Amino acid sequence: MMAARLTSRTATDASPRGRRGVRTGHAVFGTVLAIAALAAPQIFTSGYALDVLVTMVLNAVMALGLAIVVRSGRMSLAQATFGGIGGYASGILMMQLGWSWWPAWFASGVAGAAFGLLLGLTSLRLRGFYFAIATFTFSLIAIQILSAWRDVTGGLSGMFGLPIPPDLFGYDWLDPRVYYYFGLAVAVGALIVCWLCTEGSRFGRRLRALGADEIVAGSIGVPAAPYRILAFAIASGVAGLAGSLNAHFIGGISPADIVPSASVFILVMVLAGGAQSLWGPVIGAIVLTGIPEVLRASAQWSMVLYGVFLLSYVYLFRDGLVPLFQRLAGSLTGGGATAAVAARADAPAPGTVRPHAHYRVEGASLALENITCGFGDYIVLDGVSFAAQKGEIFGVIGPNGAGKTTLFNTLTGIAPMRGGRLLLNGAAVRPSPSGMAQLGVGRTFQHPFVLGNHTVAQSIRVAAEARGSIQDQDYLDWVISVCDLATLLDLPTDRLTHYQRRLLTIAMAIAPRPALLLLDEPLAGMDETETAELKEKIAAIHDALACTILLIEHKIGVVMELCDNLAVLDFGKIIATGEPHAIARDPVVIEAYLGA
Amino acid sequence: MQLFLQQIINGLLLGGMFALMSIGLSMVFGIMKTVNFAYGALYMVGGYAAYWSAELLGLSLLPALICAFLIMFAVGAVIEIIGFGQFRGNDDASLIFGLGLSLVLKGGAVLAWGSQNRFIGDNSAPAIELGPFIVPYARMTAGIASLALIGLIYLLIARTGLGRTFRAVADNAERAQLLGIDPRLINVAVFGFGTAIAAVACVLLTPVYSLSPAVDDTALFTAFTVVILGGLGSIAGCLVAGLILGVIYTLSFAYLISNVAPIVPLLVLILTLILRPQGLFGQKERLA
Repeated sequence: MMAARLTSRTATDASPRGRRGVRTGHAVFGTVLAIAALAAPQIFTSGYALDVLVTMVLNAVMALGLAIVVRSGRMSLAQATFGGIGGYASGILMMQLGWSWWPAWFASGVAGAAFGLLLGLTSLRLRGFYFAIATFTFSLIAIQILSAWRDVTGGLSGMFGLPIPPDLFGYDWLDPRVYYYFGLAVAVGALIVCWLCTEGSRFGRRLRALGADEIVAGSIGVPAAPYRILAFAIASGVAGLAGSLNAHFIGGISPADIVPSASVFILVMVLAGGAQSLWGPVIGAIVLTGIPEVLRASAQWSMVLYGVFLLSYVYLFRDGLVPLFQRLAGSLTGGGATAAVAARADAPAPGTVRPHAHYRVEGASLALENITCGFGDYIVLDGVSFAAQKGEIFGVIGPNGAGKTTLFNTLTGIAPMRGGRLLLNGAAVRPSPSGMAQLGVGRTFQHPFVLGNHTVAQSIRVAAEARGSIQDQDYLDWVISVCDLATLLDLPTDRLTHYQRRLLTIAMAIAPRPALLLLDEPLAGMDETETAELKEKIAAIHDALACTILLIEHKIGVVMELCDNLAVLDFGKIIATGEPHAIARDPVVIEAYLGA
Repeated sequence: MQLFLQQIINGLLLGGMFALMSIGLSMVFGIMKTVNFAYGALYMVGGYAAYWSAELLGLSLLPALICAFLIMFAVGAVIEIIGFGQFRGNDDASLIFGLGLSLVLKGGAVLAWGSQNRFIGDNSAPAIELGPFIVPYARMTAGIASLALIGLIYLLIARTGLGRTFRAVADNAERAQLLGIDPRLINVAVFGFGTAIAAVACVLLTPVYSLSPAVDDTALFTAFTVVILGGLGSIAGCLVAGLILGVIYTLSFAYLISNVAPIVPLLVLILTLILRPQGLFGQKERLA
């Protein structure tokens, strides 16, 4: 009952019109593609054309797998290698250990996933280029080992004469159409897995948030390493299954099949099609497998062609072909863009939704004992101690460079805590970015970081899932209302103004109903009107949630009005704590910060 | 023992060549933090620039080398202006741009010039005997030239005013701008210079490795290994890492089963990435 209500009327979904448009688009496109895919072998009946079709479908599976990794924010140059591992695995199991096809095929997926896990565990902490190089090196090592291990793998010439799988429902695998239709079924499976790893599940949505911004994702409880490692293992497992099918289809496998350029080609398919869109990797695989064949291009010309695709991708369509076509279609029909900014008809108007009593949380008490933080020889926080009571607004003030933001970063596990104890509700905790979020600590950043590639609604939704599944819809309606975001729900986050971004970061921080909310200079860069509005909103949030709030702020008037207690930080040390008016009269504080 | 020493000498010479292959990438990587996946391809094209200068203009080796240096400086400058310079701060875009450029250059090179091995000028140089040790002439020249070049680049960066501006830009491009340095101009100069040095390396190593469109992979991989092992932006690290890698390479080929040996340098790289991604001489902060 509850679940039905949440899905039927989810304010955090896009507007009904826009959403329905997107859904219809997916349905129409999917149907057309499905019909084309089913009919293709009946139209292109030559052996050569069927070979190309099988390759196309298996490339699509590989690309769909890799897209999961790309969406989690990493670029792998080893996808073809995992395919090769799958091919070798089923080949060795069948030819040398006498396994039958189905267990061997299943094992090829497991082998791919296992090696993905291995590589993920060792190198996913590396970023960007370093990760790409690690995967590149991994694939070179795999080539060397597979070439050297002659007894088992056949060395440089590889394995050939791989067994043909047993008849499937009476169909003989000697007919390439059997491979094709079976590959198509696998591709549909991969598409579903890929969707689950993006939009279709809590894991997927959080993985996508991780790909958009690791820090923000951490603040809403997404643990980067386990998520990426799992994503990588899934992607490699999918590759293993596709690689095994491919090896049995062409009847052999050799180290030449897993050279880095083969992996680069898969990456080109993902990026060129559009890594962030559902159909992108499929379209990328179809286009980039098809074009060289249609042009009857040699290996060299294909290479140039792929290169040109990559270059034009960087210059012309950095979101990929599918979003490019969507934009073109949108501008032709005049739809799309306007639908995206249209307000929800049933969206709650700003400030009209009254908070319910049950929104209240058990505010957390927070105590810092001698917290120390430093980088190298440079000590930023030097024995910071203070305590914030359940449900109060506790201000942290101090001059620029005093260590206020570092304090928040230490409390949320982003900066290293060198010494001291942090007590949350009286229990000592060891801060880690996602761990603190799961303990009910929400935070915003001094700079209003938002999730790229997300709409406002998607951002709030994924944040609301920080601690378990999506929460009370009435509550989220109130969040949207109190943060004035109702008319912006379908807007991509990169089109928000500074003030709107600030509101979104606050909405994301309160969406999971935090027990402790850390606000890092929420009023920075706000004009007078915005300051006044935002101050009201913070007060309203505090009234409704009764959560504990830690507030860093320079606008001293606001601090005086909002806060129950203050701590003054200067050069990494607490120089005073107490009630605002006592602090304002403290000569030490006046000397260090407030001025005469 | 003598065999072992001979292997060490071979290894050091090979290491000198590895360092020479990598120095151009190290400069660009270190100063501009640009990940240049097209480095191997540009290295290879640089070799062809010298080859065709020698063939078409009838130049001897040294003028052909200078010619290639100038051509590749211009090519590098153009690539920085229309390519990498546009994507600064966006690592993924530079990575993809580099991959795309290298595919175009490599495919194009095979199509235009064929895939046969070529040599520039005469390559029948003899081996030299130094007491009990035999040193092939080509490797000797390459090793010495590499040391000389690294020395020159080190002096350029550490001692000259131009080097100081390079370092200022490397350290903090924004603040360098406040001092009246145009980081874009410096980046163009550094990228041009790095590409030109790669061409020189390719020409000097052609007697050893010969010249074909396939040299790009070796160069790219070697250069990345050396730069990552040595540490980002460290010229000394580049030399030391090159020498270490050369010795490891030679010793593993001499004392291990020949089909296990190629894995050893790869393991060195992946272990560096896993255990000490900042490299031998790099600072950890630079990774971020």
